[in-house]
Amino acid sequence: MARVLCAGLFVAAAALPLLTGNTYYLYVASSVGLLTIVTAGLNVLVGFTGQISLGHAGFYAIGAYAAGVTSVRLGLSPWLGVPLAILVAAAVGAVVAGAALRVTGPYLAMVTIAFGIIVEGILVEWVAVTGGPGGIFNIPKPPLGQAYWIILAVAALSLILVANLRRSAWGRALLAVKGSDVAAESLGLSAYYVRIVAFTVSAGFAGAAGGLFAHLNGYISPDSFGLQASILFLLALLFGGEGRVAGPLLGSVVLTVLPEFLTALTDYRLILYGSLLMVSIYWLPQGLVGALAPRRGEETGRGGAGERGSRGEEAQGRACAERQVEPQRDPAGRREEQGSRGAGERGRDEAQRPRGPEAQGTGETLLTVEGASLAFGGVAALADVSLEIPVSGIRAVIGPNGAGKTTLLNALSGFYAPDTGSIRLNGTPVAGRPPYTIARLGVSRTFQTAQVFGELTVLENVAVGVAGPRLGSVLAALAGAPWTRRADEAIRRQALSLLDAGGLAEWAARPADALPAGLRRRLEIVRALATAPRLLLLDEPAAGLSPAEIAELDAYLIRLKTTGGPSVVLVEHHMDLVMAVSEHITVLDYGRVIASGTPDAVRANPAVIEAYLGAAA
Amino acid sequence: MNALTIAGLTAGYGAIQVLQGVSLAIAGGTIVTIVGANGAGKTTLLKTVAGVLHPWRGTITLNGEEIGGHPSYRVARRGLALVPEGRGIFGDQTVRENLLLGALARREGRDPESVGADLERCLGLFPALRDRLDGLAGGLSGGQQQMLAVARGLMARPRVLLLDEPSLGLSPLFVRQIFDAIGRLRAEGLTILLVEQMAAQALALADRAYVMERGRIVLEGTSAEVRENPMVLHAYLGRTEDAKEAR
Amino acid sequence: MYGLVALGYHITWVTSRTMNFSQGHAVMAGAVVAFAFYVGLGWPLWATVIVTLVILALLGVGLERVAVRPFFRAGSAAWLLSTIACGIIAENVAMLTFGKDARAFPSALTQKPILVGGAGFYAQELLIPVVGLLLMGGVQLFYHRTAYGKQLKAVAYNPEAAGLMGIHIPRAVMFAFGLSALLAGIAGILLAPILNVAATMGSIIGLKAFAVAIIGGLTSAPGIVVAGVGYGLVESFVAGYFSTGAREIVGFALVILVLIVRPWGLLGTRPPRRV
Repeated sequence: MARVLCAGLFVAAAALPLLTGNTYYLYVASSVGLLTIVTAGLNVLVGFTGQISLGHAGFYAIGAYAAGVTSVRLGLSPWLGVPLAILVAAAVGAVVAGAALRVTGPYLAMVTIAFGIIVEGILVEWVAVTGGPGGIFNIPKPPLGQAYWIILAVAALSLILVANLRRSAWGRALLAVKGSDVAAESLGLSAYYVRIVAFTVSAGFAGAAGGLFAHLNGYISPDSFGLQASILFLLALLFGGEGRVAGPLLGSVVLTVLPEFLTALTDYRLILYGSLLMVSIYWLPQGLVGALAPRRGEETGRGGAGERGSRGEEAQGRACAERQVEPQRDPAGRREEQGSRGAGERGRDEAQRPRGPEAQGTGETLLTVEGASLAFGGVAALADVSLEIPVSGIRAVIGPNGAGKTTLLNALSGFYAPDTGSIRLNGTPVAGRPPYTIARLGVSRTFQTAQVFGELTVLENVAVGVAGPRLGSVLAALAGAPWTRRADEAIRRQALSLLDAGGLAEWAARPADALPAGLRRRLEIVRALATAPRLLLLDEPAAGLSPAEIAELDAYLIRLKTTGGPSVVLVEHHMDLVMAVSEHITVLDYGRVIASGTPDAVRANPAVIEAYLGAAA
Repeated sequence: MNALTIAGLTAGYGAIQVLQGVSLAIAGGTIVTIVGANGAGKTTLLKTVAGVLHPWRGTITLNGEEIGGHPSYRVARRGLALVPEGRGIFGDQTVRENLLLGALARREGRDPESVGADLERCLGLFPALRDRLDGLAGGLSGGQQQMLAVARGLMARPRVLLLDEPSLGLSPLFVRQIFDAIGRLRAEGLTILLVEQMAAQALALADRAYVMERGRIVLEGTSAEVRENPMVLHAYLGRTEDAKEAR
Repeated sequence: MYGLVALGYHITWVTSRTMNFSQGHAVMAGAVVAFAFYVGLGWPLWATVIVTLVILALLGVGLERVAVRPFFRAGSAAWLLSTIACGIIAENVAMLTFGKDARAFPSALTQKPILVGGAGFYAQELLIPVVGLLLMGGVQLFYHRTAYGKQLKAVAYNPEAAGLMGIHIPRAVMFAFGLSALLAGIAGILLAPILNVAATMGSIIGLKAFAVAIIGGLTSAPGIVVAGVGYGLVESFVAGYFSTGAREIVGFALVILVLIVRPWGLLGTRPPRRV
């Protein structure tokens, strides 16, 4: 529906010069076009990757001045100048991103604002190149009609490029990092790298618009490139609808045309912008596009009792009546590792403690942990843990609350680095390597609270797993190159067959946040399996599931084993599940292994019983 | 009238329902314990009662007053104190400051003399804190922090005290000390709801007990009755042969 | 002088882990309101000061209610943007009521410059760091010595536990915002005679003050004041040797550098590895 609207707008726009010779209208329409180009790029950064930038006027300026300088000082043709402007803007973008993306949230906003101001300052000061406050004039201007067509074409192209991107593996990777960077890393994606690419692309788009602006106007000066411009860009995007392809267009139209209509109210312009911004944040979180054409998930209603929206769900979960500051997405181990723990040694490992390779009849060892220890603030979360995981089979790690199970899982998947000890995957040491590296070596996991990528469809979630870090060239993705499309088809087909095997095929086209809670967990597992891992780590997979669902999970895990799936390590509290599917159980208490063996052996082990129930009175 | 009554309480986080209609009653001056494996919903229950979480359905009555749905700072001032899992002490302030903050919720006002007297009483209960009154709370060991947390809860002179896994992460020595202190508090007439994973010790101390599994109460009775029941082991370690036959 | 405004950022951050991005605009509001009463209505100075501060505090509280609290659930960026939005709305309102030009704010302390070793200072300019230091001391005292200050610290450290103590969380946050607006108001009144009151003075002051807060460390009041003084010195230095425009460039480049190397500021505390 949104696409029809867009196409309609473009047709109307194309017809405009034929309908009226009035240069004013053409100029306004050109401005809309330019803003669309910028916001389309910004959409990649803000809408797809979830990062805020309030400094894009800086890239716009770089583009404009690059084009201006090359054409006026160097006599370069605009056909060369503008592409050059794009390259320069993108290059600067990459550098800024490398530095800026080490921080997030308000700090990132600050860095981008600072960048914008610095650029503005340089424009004013570096008189030799930029002409100082006077700017550059006499930039070659094609006749307005021609300029208009070019801008229109580029604007349409921008939207098409972004739409291509969205459909490709890169687009999914961006949204994955936005949705849950922790989960994205566990699938092999480096969030830092992905964000840098998004930033660079958006800088390039802004540069393009800037270059075109220089030639449209014939004159550029530092005034047009201040913080207000950056705010306008962001506002246009948010109002139109971030994350939606048509958002930039609608936002640009409204925010360019509206002030023109209300010239009587120029003085109130800022009030208008400010209010629009607040309105769009509060009432139109998906922008105008979202209001007109909501995502399919919302139309058909959300399943499950009392669904309160997945955004901020974890945050709400922690403290409802009180405001939880800084809702952090750290599902990995938050519940267990709170506060400090007593210094007391329990010393109850006189009972079974395995030494040497397990005689489980499974042959080779996949993963070896030796003497791993990890302390938080002086308190040992893991103390001299050693265990071995064979190439296939299902094992469980259990223990009372706070025993260190999730810490162990996090250490195995790279989210924590052990202080001492080693972890070897097929002989390769992996302790302390970043999560995405370990993921790429064949370790996959799920999280205590299911981290599905809400904005992607169920199929796309799995597709992220299938593709992993193999994203191809982002330029090819933008261009919608045939080989990218073919690769994409293959990925989707594979994802669909995985969904089918997991019993989720009917949900394939629905947004992942429409899934009821029990199925989200399953999606997470299917997605984790999509990376064809050698080791699958499941963190409390039965949490929040009904007994029937747990039985299904039982069956699923056993089926995995018999059909030659990966080695599975399961951290769990639900003893029914653990006893039913595991061949081997390791019991942790106070960060130490206190027992290890078959389910029956462990269950009868007095040390284990004592750990759970406390010393008998 | 019971000190605390909960009826049909349903609650959860976001879209995930944890409590499936919990009902229980605590008589004044007794210790009631709730045992159950992790994930059973014990902490969720305490948080909902204390006002940290919003109940979805059901009622919570404190000494006849309805407190369900009120935010935690209001519930605290009505005489219900929660010592949370993980202790929740303010590490950047001293032990004394932490204790004084606890006194904020007193219904009797905060004249320095009576607060001072309360402070003395708490130190009497937990002598280890006396030497460290002016040290930073963050520097205490786990066991000492737990004592501080309990003492801080007591400074509010609550009518009902909720304790969320006070034994968590503590050595047996500290656990014994804390449980002794809890016993003494009951002797002074305080009503206590104790949530614990260390079932044996909690059951030894309490008057009545409830067993929770997956968001529901599955067993209730006097603590002696519950201790004997094979279902308790089942709640922790999964199906045993006896439980299987009992089905 | 930026330190003063930056203290406002520090306060709201320490209490509620949020910031009021329109702090600079609050300064402007302070200056404008003071102008309105002192010059416009001819009220005596002491009355002007009181009224201005009260109005500013109310504005701060109002901002928190309208722009921060409702947006808190919408994700971490929303409240940020909405405070920016409010800021620009405020700027516009000021432009409409006050006019676009800068106007002079008369003050006894700016009549005659005091000469110190070749450079001229206005007494007013000396007043600012003095007031800044006093206020910083006051803020520190408040947080570390008074009962309410400790409650606010508790709210920042662990809001859930603070609520269990019976501390009224929403009120605490409102107070923080009100207080920081108040400080902005003081800054506005003090700066008015020096900078000339204008509706547009808000943004750049706000940004620089934010930069100072980041450099000094959002969690450390002394750090902020030190950073404020340092920043001011660097600015004057750069303006003297290079040019006024370069001032901004250097200043902000410094901020970026600090953010990359030491994101919690020079004297701030590293956020604990909250796992």
